[in-house]
Amino acid sequence: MIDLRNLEKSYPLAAGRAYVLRNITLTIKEGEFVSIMGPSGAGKSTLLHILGMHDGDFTGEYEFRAEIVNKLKPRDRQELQKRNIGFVFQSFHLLDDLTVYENLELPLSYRDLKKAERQATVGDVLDKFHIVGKKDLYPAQLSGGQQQLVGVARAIVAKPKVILADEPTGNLHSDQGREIMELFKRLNEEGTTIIQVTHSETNATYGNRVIRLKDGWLVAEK
Amino acid sequence: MVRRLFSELRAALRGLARHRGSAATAIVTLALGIGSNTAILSAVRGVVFRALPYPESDRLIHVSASWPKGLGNISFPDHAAISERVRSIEKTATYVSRGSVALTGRSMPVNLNPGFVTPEYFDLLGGRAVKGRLFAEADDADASGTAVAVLREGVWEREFGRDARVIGSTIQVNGAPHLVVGVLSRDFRDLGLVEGQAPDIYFPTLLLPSLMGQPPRTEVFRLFWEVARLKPGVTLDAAQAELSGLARQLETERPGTHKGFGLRARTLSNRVRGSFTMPALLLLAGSLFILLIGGANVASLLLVRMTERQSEMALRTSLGASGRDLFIQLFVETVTLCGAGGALGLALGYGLSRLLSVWVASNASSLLDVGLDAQSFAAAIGLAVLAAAGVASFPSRAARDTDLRAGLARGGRTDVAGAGDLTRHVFIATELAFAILLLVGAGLMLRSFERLTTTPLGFDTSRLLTFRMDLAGARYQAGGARSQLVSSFIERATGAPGIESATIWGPSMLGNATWVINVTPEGRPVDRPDAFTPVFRHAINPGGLGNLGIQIVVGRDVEMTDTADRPLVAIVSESAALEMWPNGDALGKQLVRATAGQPKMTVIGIARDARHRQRYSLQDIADSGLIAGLRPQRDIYQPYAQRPNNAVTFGIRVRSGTSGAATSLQAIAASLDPNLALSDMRYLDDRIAAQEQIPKALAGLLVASALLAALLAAVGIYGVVSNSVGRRIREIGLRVALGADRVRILRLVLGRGLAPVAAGALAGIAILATIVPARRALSVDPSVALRAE
Repeated sequence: MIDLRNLEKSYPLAAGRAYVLRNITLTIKEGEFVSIMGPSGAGKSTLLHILGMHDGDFTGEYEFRAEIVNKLKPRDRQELQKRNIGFVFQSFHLLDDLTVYENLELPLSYRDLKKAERQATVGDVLDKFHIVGKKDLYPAQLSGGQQQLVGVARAIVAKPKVILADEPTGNLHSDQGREIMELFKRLNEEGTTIIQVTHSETNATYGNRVIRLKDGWLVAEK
Repeated sequence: MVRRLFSELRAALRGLARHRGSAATAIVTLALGIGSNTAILSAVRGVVFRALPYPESDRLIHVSASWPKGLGNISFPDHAAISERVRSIEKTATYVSRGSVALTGRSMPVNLNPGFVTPEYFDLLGGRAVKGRLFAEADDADASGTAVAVLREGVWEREFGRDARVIGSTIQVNGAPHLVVGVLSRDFRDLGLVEGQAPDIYFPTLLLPSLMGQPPRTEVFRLFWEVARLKPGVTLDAAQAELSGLARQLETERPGTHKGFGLRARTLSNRVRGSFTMPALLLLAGSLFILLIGGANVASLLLVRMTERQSEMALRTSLGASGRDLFIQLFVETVTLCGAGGALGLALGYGLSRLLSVWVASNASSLLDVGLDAQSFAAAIGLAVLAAAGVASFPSRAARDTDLRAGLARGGRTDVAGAGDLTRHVFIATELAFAILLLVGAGLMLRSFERLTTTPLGFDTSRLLTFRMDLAGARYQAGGARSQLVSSFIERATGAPGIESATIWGPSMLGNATWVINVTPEGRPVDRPDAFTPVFRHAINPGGLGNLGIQIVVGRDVEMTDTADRPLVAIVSESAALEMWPNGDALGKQLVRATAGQPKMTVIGIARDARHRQRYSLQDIADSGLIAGLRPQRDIYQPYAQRPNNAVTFGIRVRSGTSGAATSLQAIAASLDPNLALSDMRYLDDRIAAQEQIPKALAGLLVASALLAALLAAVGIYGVVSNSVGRRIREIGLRVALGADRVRILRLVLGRGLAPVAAGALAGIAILATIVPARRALSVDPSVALRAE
């Protein structure tokens, strides 16, 4: 599903370049649950944003479902992302001015679905995540765990093939964190590929593969 | 797409409601800018561009006589020459509106403003009879025929109760019978409105001698306004060339009366509006500054919001929003905001426009229609849309440039210098430069107005009741009869209770067209075109100058012995004396008139300068741009007994606390002649206040614009500084925690806030420093400059 070949990311400096990712070659198959780990500054989030097609400024080759991402125009790259990828963020990133329902509806509105279709899909997701009662509340009226629950719901509402999660439990206490990880596991079991960045060994155990980075190099895989 | 737009609109409205503070600031700011521009734009359109209310008005021209020392009205023979000889002109008309006539043969005489016109006048300007007919060629051709009159609809209604039997019947005017042939529609805008009131009753020009005591329509009486319609396709320049040729012919043919004579054509629109154009454009500039400042403020406010919303934009992108989606969202949000501001602004503009229209019609000129018309309204909507699009483009562009990773990484943190910082600082600097320009400009204008309004008139205006008496008709045909009546009136008025002094002031009234004569010292060569000096003529009674408070510097006042059978004498004002006798030896010298056959006058005294006509006019402002001072007015005073005009103006000084002076003066007039009416009676101070109303209103509007601009600029600066502080609150807190004292923090905040302020102030001052000397350079009179060498 995902193939990275000799991927490198660097920034220009006065004397030479600063490398963030070095010579990454990696394959992720459909249905995998991958955890990217490593110390701060290892390049985990940078790799995640490249995988999520937020960042197209790299060298090497990135193939996603038979599309060569590094050769796509920005608009086509965004279209590919829109069709296939959902995001979950450490700080939830819900829109404060929108209700839970509207936050969930937002990705669908960018996919030109009809209103009835949007209503049906959001209704299903609210039901699946047991948050129907919260649909008219604003994010500020929810706990951190509930907010991240909405964040995950929003990530899957457009039925992506892959979910990219950047420290999804980083801002949650352990019970809430466990609940979210269970949810990821369930989603993975239902067929969604999950790639998460995490510092937590416990969270990594929910997945079936761990990739370790250090100073931008891929140092270990198990 | 439509559904999408509606959904974005709903979201935008909700956003406005949630951020109602900043939304209200933006809406009110835009409304003020668009509102003031809508009103001023339609006013400027009305003053400068809108067609006059006459058929084919773009082909109408006004023709003046031009002399080496200024422009003037023309004589009837000049009108006839233009009419017969100028090929580029399709039709001409001439008219004069002056003095008053009395509607007699009823219990109390009623004063009416007469207009004397050639029959083509109404045809040329689209006059329409609501009853009967207007003038025919025969009415103005034969003095021995029936004397006819046309009533204005208002007078027909007021004095005759719209009685249709009046048409075709005879009415008494100045004691003589006149046949009423028709009634002129009330919607006709008479050209007399340019200099005063519209006539109440019209007569053919050949009735001037019988009704007004004017001599027949000869060369020496240059009283007429000339209007003409150019043939289709003829340019003003072509007409001017032909008129100049005619003037040269007349100069050769009639050397006694046409030395230095020229003809000057202007579009009628220019003649009517000339003096209003400059103030109108000044106001427009001020108003556009406000719109620019307001627009910059709102754009700046939106950029701040945009910086705060960068993470939201990044998030929306990661959720699948395309650049187009973001653009639509932000565009709808901004257009909603600007639409609300625009709608409020248009409502405000409509209200202001109505107010301005009523004010201009009653205080400036009813020939000017400054109301909001469909085209101005469309232009105003265009302006609002333009402002909205201009403002909307900033956040939309900022959204396009959003750095996705940085935006998502930033999360809730907003203490990072935003990409829009430089743009906003440039906005603030520009706003401030504009505001300073406007403030300084308005300040200079206020100072100039203050200087103008405190320019001494040269005489005491307090408690001075002024009015006109028109001695027309057979009874006052002889000069002696007029002189006799006026002396009796002065004598009785002086003795009446509550009256301090009574003065004959002259033939003209303050603010109306002034009588001008051309004179030169005897013995000077008169073959040069500029040999004669035009001076304002006044007729006075003995002691009259003293009554007015005008001091005689050298020589003597007019005395009782200066009668009609004695050699003519004159007192000249200091400026006139200095111009004609630069060595200061005017006293005892003789003055000759430009008009052949007029007797010489001996200068018996020199009086201090005075401003009888008016203190200053809009034309002065248009001519000098308020930088040069006012030029002195040149006057000549003759004894009324020697120059007994039939139009007489009086200045009666009333003792303070006196009431009923007007009634007792009317009674004195009636006791001398029951058909004699005093008209246009007002205190001089009220006349002056009315004259100064327009320039004062203009100054007020400019100052208001400048203050509004300054207020908006201050709001802009406040917004930028408070936002900058808000975004650096973590940094400031950290600095305090690390030991920074209050002074350092203050310096930090001021440093960032004051940089654009200082840049804007410097730019404003630099522009001013360039404009003022440039403006002065443009107003240099080369002859004065070279003489100074």
